[in-house]
This record gives sequence, structure tokens and C-alpha cells, in this order.
Amino acid sequence: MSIENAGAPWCALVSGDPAATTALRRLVLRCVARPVAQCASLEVDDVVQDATARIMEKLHTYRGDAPFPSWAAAISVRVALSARRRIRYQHVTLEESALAGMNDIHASCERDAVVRSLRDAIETSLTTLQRQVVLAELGGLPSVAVAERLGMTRNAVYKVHHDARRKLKAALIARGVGREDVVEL
Amino acid sequence: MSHSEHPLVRATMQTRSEEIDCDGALELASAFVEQPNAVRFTALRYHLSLCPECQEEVNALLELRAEGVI
Repeated sequence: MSIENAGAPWCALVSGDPAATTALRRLVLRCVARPVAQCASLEVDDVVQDATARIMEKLHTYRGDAPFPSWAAAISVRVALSARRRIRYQHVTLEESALAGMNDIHASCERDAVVRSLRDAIETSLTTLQRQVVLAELGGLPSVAVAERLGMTRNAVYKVHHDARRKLKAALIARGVGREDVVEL
Repeated sequence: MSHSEHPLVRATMQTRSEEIDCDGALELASAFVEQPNAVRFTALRYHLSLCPECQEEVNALLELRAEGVI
């Protein structure tokens, strides 16, 4: 299924129908209203414009796995929350957050032998980029902000984090750590 | 070894060789909010357990659905 089969008014978005475009902007506005209201520095018109443009860019990828409003809402929410995260963390550097992450590790080392092994693995098994990403995110910097500071996409940051976790897991297992040593939530 | 509660230890030991990424999670999110308990979203639920940003986005979508916006 494609956008042409999405039903009215959405199927008319492809041809730039004004009524469909207005309906989309109205939907996007309702989806981004709360994240925007929670951040005084965000302009609602800017977020609606960005989200609407992103939806139109991706319109050809709509497959009909969910109703069109849900699909458009997922994109709108990501655009709005990403904008809010960028503003909230705009004054936090990668280095500050990585330092906070390392301090968190060190604070847990005294009482947690597994964390001591993790600290050693972080220092010896990871590349500089992997270490930066893992520690900065542990320090609280959202991946969208990590990505911005490293000139990467959020998706690429997730992949770096995944590769890092795979290396750390192998290192911990080599040091005798097993799933039984981890408290499940 | 002692039992660790550290989130990075937990995330590390739960790491799978194949994981969906944040773009993959976005592709699935709108169908997920229609049927959050469906078996086909196991990989997404796992991603959400590791990615607080995608989890926050899905929570926002679930709120929009509960409010009748979508």
C-alpha cells in the first residue's frame, strides 16, 4: 500500500492539494503541541513546518502498516522531541557529558565488581569514538545531541553504541561475567 | 562476581548481535501503537528497553492515541 491508497484527504498530499496540506498541518500541530509547550525556546510554527516537510519528504516510503495519521504522528513526535532535546542540552559539551559518564562508572566501582570490569573494558577494548559515545550517553547526553556534536546521524550513533556494547559484552564474558551477574529489571 | 544493577552493565549483557536501530524503530512505531502486545514487535520492544529517546517518542504516541488524536 502507498500514499495513493491512504484514503481522503491524505491521498491528495502527493498532488499538493491545499485541503490535504491544511489537514496535515492541523494534525502535525496537535502532535507537537505538548513537546513544544514544554520548551519555551521552541517556536510552534517552526516545529510544525519542520515536521510537515519531513513527512512530505518521506511520503513515498509510507507502506500502510498503520493508518496515515499514526505514521505522520510518529515522524512529528520525533521531530518535536529531537528539537526539544537539542535545546535542552545545547550548552552541554560532549566532553562534559563523557566525564559525567566516567564519574558515574567510577562511583559504582567501589561497590560493584562487574562495573570495575566494565571500566577496564571501556578503557582497553573500545575505539576513541566508541568510548566517547558510550560515556557521553551514560552521562545523560541524548543521542541526537551526541550525533550533532560528532557530525553524525542519530542512527549512526546507535550503531556505534551497539558495536561498543558488543565489544564490552565479549570483554566482560572473557572476564567471567555472565547474565546471572546482572540484576534484571 | 557480585550482582550488578548498573544500567550500562545490564545493557551490555543484554546486547544482541542483530538489533534494529532508531530509524527502524521509527518505521515500526506507528504500527506498534495500534497493537502494542503483538509478537511481531519483540525486536522493537527490545530496542525501546535500550533507547530512552525512542521509548519517550513511543510513549508520546501512545498518549496521542489515548487522547484520540491518532
